[in-house]
This record gives sequence, structure tokens and C-alpha cells, in this order.
Amino acid sequence: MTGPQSRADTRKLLEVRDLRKHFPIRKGLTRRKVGQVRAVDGVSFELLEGETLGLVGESGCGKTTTAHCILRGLEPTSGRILFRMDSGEVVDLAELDESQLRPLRKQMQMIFQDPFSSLNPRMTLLQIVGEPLLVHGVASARQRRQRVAELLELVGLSPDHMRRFPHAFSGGQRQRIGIARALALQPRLIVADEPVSALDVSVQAQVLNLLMQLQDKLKLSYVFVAHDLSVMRHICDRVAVMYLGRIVETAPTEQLFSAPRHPYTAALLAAVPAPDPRVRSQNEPLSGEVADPADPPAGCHFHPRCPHAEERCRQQMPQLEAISPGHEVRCHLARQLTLEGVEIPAAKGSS
Amino acid sequence: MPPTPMASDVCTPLLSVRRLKTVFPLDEGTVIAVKDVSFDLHAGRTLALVGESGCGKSVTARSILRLLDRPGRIEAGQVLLRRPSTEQAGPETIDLAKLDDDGPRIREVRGGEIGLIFQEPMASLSPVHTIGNQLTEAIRLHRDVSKCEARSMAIGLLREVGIPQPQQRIDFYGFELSGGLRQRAMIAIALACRPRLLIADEPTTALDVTTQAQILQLLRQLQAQHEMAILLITHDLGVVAQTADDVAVMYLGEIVECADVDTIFHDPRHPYTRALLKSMPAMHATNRGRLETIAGSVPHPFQRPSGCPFHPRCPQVITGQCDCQAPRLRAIGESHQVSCLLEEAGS
Amino acid sequence: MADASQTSAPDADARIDVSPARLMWRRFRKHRVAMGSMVLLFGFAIIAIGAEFFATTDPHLPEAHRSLMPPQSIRLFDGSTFRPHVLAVRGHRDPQTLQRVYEVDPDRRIPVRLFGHGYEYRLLGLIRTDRHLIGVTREHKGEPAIFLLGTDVQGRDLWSRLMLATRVSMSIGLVGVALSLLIGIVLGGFAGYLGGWVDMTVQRMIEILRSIPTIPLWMGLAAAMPRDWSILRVYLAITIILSLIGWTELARVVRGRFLVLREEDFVKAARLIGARRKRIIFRHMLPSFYSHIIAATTVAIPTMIISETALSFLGLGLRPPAVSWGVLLQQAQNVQSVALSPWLMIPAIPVIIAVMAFNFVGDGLRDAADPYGQ
Repeated sequence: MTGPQSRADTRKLLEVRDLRKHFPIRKGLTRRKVGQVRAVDGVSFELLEGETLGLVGESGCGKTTTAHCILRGLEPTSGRILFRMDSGEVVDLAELDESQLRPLRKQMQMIFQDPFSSLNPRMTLLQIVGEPLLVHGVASARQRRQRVAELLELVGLSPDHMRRFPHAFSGGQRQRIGIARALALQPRLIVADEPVSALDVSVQAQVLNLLMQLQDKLKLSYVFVAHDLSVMRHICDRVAVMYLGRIVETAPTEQLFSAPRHPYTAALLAAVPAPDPRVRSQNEPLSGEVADPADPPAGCHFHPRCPHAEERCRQQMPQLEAISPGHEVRCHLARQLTLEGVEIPAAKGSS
Repeated sequence: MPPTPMASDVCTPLLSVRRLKTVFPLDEGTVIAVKDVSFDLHAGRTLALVGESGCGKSVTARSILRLLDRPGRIEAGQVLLRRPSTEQAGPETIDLAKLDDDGPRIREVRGGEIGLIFQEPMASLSPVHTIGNQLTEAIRLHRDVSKCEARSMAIGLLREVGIPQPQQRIDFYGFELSGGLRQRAMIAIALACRPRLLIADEPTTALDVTTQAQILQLLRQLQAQHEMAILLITHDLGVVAQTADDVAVMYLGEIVECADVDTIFHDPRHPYTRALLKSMPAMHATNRGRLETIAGSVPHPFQRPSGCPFHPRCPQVITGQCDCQAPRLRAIGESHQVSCLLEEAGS
Repeated sequence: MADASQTSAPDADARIDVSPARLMWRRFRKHRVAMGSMVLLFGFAIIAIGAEFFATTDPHLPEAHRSLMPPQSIRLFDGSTFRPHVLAVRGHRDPQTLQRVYEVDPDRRIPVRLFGHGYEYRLLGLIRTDRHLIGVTREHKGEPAIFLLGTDVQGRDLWSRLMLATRVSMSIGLVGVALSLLIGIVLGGFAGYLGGWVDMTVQRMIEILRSIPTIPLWMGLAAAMPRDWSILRVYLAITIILSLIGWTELARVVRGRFLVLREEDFVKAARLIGARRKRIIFRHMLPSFYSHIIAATTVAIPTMIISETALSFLGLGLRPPAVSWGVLLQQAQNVQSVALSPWLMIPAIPVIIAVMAFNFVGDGLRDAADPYGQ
């Protein structure tokens, strides 16, 4: 275990520093390494106690890989993952081995994207939700049953269904089961990997409400991965936008949506189809597609698609720079550009 | 190009679905996947079928094309496709529901008069044929042209759907293209025979937002150019708002509300439509606001509720009526139909 | 959302509160051919267990005077009364061709009855009895009576020998597969779960084993077996030889499933909960694919049976006095004997039936194995 690191800010639960995850590309009989995909390439962020940080981006931007690296579901190639334990001590999760990590798992859990594949179809609800308790030996069989009943009730399921198998439940209900499992050990950090993207709109709203309500009740901190910006808008305090393995912009949600400073953020916001036929988008959508992460363009990764790109964008990778407190942008032109965010309609009665 | 339609053709719909009923007889019981669905689709317009998973929107599309998976079958209803007059014959109307589902006539319609794009372009592009092979095959299946002509037509099509360097890309395989280009290639294949109707089943669900915006724009352009009718199947209300002219909201195999897009979004009358719109997380909402939800979840098709299918989840349910009396879809305004007892009581 | 899958969704509901095993059984039952084959295999199993009970005459008793006797049929009626019997057969040597010729004696009728008497044996190796499924009455006991499928060169009853051979051949299949399964699961499991160099080594080993031509390999191994070994030892040695080759296929299945499952979210979830490797393997991974293993095993049994038959047929496997389908077929090795006594080919029929039945059941199990997939 690493010694105490940054005791200064006691509200800081998690700090990720320069996290990298490179996947080798192997070819041939001898599995020779011929290249690598820099799925996550120097990501840094921090998460405060009780906060929700959103990681948003298109496929291949590395948001899911980042999420899995934090909990060491994937082995990071390099970087530090500093986690402040309930004792106040700060440990670097990236340095621990599996047996040292095991007791820490109680404090951090994951919610998965696919409500179907993330539950073992051959186990009953009692076994699934009770497994973390069993693994950490925190309860006898009777206590376990009682705790599982509590947990099921907490996520809005009937404890009577404890003996059923997951196939008897709908997608939304299964996602609730997954949430109950994650909460079983009373964690402080929850990493949610696209928890609502496989659900129908009406069910999605239920699950989002549940997550927010649980956060208030249980003082949880979330790292929330999603590709859907409108979901982010609702649940996150701060949002980090990722593009090709790097964070391009971090800002408090409100600010990011109303006044984005990175052209990619602005393009993402503009691309979300507005659910109102009276505001049909007239502007040209962003051209091109995300580049191959195995062969990213030189300079700023976004320059081939950027409508504002200049010569230095093609040559030089911009650094993540704070342009106002809590608002960091990775763009050479961050201070010059005026970008359009989401307009907040003044008089809209419905919501 | 089809010959210019006669004056009478303009107001008759291109496709009329009448009381379509599709069932899946299974060992455990019969599932009514589509029940009494009726709608009209006019040339140059986009009709969106919206609903949550299991509402029967995809099955409706597959019923029209007679592409139902076993053991599904059309039990009742008509799918009327109007054909313009040609040199050989005058205008005619064929009922696709009556055709043999693997016969030559439906195959002529599929890919010829009706084009189809799926959600997952990877699954519908052959991994062993190049894009060009599949395109020229699609062209030559329905048109009598030489291989060489077909190839140049194919290149033209790829250019039309916005694929850069079509001369090279025509010899690519589906898996060599990125998601967005693949979906464009899929659209090119669907358009190969200049269909008068395009059925797009969740065409952008598997794509990223920025790519989705590109594909939706492309579809709009193509529609404007070719006066094509589009039947758009989606669960995404944002996509509907941006692309559809008319909307039919489906729930448990039934159309519960049908109107033009503005009415659906600004004057919805069915409690389900309203709830669906409210439960959508909005981009300009206040932070961490509680979302409106619809209680419960879509019941399983075996446990179809009696009366109005939505009544167990409806916030305005009238006990004693909604659970025993099935509402009928009725017009409450010009081109606005709702299937709800509340509306019946009001009128 | 997953709207396209809704056509398969209706399947889901009758599933509420049903365990995965029940779901599998439900799906298997729909597969009619597999169900029929399953019933057939049960028949084979019963025959294998009570082989002596189904035999009619002592299968090891050679009688020169009734060599190559053709099959007899049971006549159900004597005149118009129901009295099952067979007609006695009289044999003599043709002085010109020097072959034994058999004539039916229409006057000597030997009555036949169910659960009649015959030679003495121990049922299941325990109960001493002389009752057989088909036998004669007590007063006719001892009379060499019923040869349903004729006799072989040494005058032994083919039917009775076939019953015994069923036991040997079927059990070699099962034991051989059990052994391959053990090797396959261990090696395949390690390869799949650990990956890396372990996986490489196991993979290469499989490739090498599979690239060796089987017949010369068998010949070599069989030749290495001392001639004076007892029947039991030869039997065991043959099973081991067969499973040394047979495990490769099963190891591949196991390895493949492990690789797939390692990436499954629920396995990952278990890891992130802090479950130990042992728990992940035995609670999460193995139960998710034993259905697949059962299916793969069922398909592997016929290969074993065929291999044993081939080995014994070539004289490399079991040797008389052991009886297996292959050993019986050895007598049908030359054209002349087949032409004159075609009934010697009959032991091929159970081989075909058993192999096909196992394959059908395996197919059915494989389809049913994944109650959640389509």
C-alpha cells in the first residue's frame, strides 16, 4: 500500500492521474506485436465525495475502458488511481495486486451496461444479490436473506421474487437487480458503465431517478459513463468529454451545456436531435467519423473533423488547460472561439 | 424514374395498411404482436412508428415486407401497395398480405418497389461479397442492364449517399468500412432500384450521435430528391421530431395515437404519448431534476391486459371502464386519431 | 432498442419461475428425433446392464456341430393355437462341398416362452438365476434351441454374443469419454482460463496429436500391449488409448467456452465483487457450460464406439474371448463368409443405430443447451 498522498482535500474520493491503457495489436503465428491501440491515453480527473462525474463520448473514445481500469477490471498500462479509503488513507489502486484489492472492493462497485449478460442466468436473485455478502463473509445465511430483501426493496423490487431467476424479469428490473448487487456492500464509489443505454425511454427515466435518489440517501459518488448527452444533463455534476482516448473538455454540467469551449463538445451537443419538431436543426452536421484509435491523426486528434482547425492544430497536440476554475479545455483556440451551446428556452411550460 | 403520377394518384396513399393483425403461435400460447394496425403513407412523406421495445413496430414493418420470422404470420388485414400506371398496364393496387411470402411477386416488391435498411448494417451486409457485388446484384435483379452499366450505376449510387472515393470503395467489403459508411452503403443498396417506399428500421440506433446526424440528413436529402415515402421505425423521439411528418405511437401491438408530428409533440392526447414525452431526459432541463416516469414496465405479450392495453400503467385510468372496455382508434381532429376512452367520453 | 429481438421475446414468459435446467429440458423435448434417440439409448443401456438376461444361449459355448447355422425365426402359432415355438434344425455335412448344411425338422417343435429357462448366470453379477427373456420350459432346458441370429463359425449363438458385445462396446464408449472428459476439462480449462503460454502449449499439443494418423498410432500402441494381458487389462488399455486421442476435441470445446465466458459481464461482475478465482470458476463458469460439455460428450461417444469397433475389427483392439461389436464383425472380414452366411454382418446394425442415436441426442442437447440464446 502507498503511504498517504494528498490528505489536503478530504472531500476528494478518487483521483486518476495520467491513466493509460494500450491494447497491443498482434499478428501472425508468433503473436508478434505490430502496433497498439491507445484506448486511454493520459486521462486525469478527480471525483469528489458525493459527486457525479460523467464521462461522455462516441464509441472508441475510451470512456468504458477508463471506467473498467478504475476498478481494475482491466489492467491499466500506466498511471495512478488514487482512492481515499473510508479510513482516510489514500491508496494507489493501480499498484495493488488482486489479494490486496479484494478488501477494497467493498468500497467500490460497478453497474454494467447490459442488464442481460451481467447477471448469471443460473443463479437466483438471492444468490446474485447475496454473493458480495457471501464473498466478503459479512453475513450468515439468514442475515444474508434479510439484507437481500432490504436491498431489493431499496431498488424497488419485491423481496418475494428472491427465488426467481433473472430471466423472469424485464430489462429495467434486471438493471435494478444489478444496482442492488452493487449496493450490497455499502460502497462509496460506484462506476456505472452506460447503465441506462440498453433500456427503453420510460424505464430509463425510472432507473435514472433511482440512481439519483440512492445517491442522496446513501452518499454515493458516481463515475457515470454514457454516450447520451441528455442523460448526462440530468444526472451529472461535472462532465468530461472524451475523444480518442483523451479528455478534451471538463466542466460543470451547466457550463458545459450552455457554453462549451471545445468544438467537439459543441458538435456533440448540436448533433443530439431535439425532441421538438419546431426546432429542426438546420446546421450542417459534423463531417467525417472518429479516426482509428490505432492510428490517430497527428496534432490535435480532432483536427480532421474540426471546422475551426488551423495549421498548428495539425502539428501540435494541445494541452488540457484551465480557462476558468473547474473548466478545462484541450484546444488551441479555446479562448478565441465562441461556440453555441444548448439554448435554454425561456418560456417552456412543460418541464 | 417512374412516370409522372396522374392527378388521381397524388392524393391516394402509396401504402395503406388496413387492420393488420400479426400473430406468433407459440407452444406457450399465441402472441398478438400487431393488432388492428391501420395507417396510410403518402409519397414524399415520412411516417414514424414509435414505441418501446415489444410494441410491435418492427413486426409491422416485417409484416409489410412479408419477412416475418417463424412462426409469425399475418392473421388478418390488408397491406395495399399502389402501383402507378406503366406502359403495359394502368395503375393497380396489390395486397401484399395476400402474396406468397417467398413467391416471385413479393420478391419483386422487396428491394424493387420497397427498399429496406436495418439497424445493424454489419449484419445485413455480406461478409464474403464486396459492396459493389451486392449493389450490382441488387440492380441487376430488378433491372435489365449489363454488368458494366450496373457497376457505373453502383458507383453513382455510392457517390449519391456521400461515400468518398466511390471508385475505390466499391471494391471494399462491409467490414472494411466504418459504421457510418457501412450504413451509407446499406442505404445505397436499398436505393439501388429507386424504390418509391423506404422502410428504415432503427436506421441510426447503432450509430454515434454525430454519425446519426449525418445519416438523418442524408435520408432527408434523398427523400426530397426522389419523392420517396419513408416508413421510419424508431424508439428515439428526438429522431422522430427531426425527421417525421406523421407519427403513429404504438403500444403492445396497437396504434394508440396517430397525428402529424407537431400535434404529437405539442398537443398529445393519449396518456401514453404524454408520459413518453415527459419521461425523456431533455437537454435543457434543470440539473438533477426528477424525471417523470411511467409506472411499471411494458407487460409481457402473454399477459396482455384486458380492455385498454395501457390501463395498468395509466395515470388517468378510470377503474371499471378502462380495464374492461377496449377503446377504438377514432378521429378527434383533422388527421389526429386517438385510442382512449377519455377522448371518447369527451366527444 | 432491442426491438428486433421481440419476435423471440414471447418465448420468455412461460419461463417465469422456471429453473434453467427445466428450460433446457423443455427445449430438448421439442426435438423429436433426439427424444426418440434418447429412448433408444435407454434400451441399449438396459441391454448392456442385463446382457445375460437378454441372451438365449451361452455365448461362450462353442459347438462344432452347429457352426454357421442360419437364423431361426420364432413361430407364434402351432396350427391355429397360440403356442410360440421354433422348429428344430438338423445339420449334416454335404459330402461334395464339405460344408455343413442345415435342414429344418418340421416335426420337432421346441416351445418358447417369455422368462423361460436357459443357461445359468448371475444377474448384475449378483443374483444366480437361469431365467432369460426368451427361453424354453423346464423340461426342454438344456436343449440347444433358439438361434435368433444364427451362429458363428464356432457354433456360438450370435444373438447372445451381440447382447454381451453391447455391454462391452457401450461401456468402452462411456469410460473412454469419461477419461477424455477429465483430461479435456483440466487441460482445456487451464488453457482457456489462464491463457498465455499455457494456452499455447496445450493448443500445440492438441494440434500435434490430431495431426498423427490414427491407425498407425493405434497399431503402434496396440502392438506395445503384451499378448498375455488379461481381458480386463486389454480393455482398460484400449480405453486409455482411445481417450488419449479423444480428449483433444473436448479440450477445444472447454477452452472455447472458457474464453467466451471469461469476457462475460457476469464473470467480470463476480471478479469486481472480489470473488476468488476458485469461486468464479466453479460457481460461475463451469455451471454455465456444463450443458455444452454434456452435448460435446454425447457427440464424442460414437467416435469412441466406432474407434473401438475399428480397432477390434483390425485385430488390434479387444481379442477373443472378449466380445465386442468389433470382435463380432471380425468374422465378417472375408467376402466368402459374408456371401455364405450374411447374418454375420448383423452386428454392424447396432453400431450404426447407436452412433446415430448418440449424434441425434448430442444435437438435441446442443440446441437445448443455451436456454437463453436463440
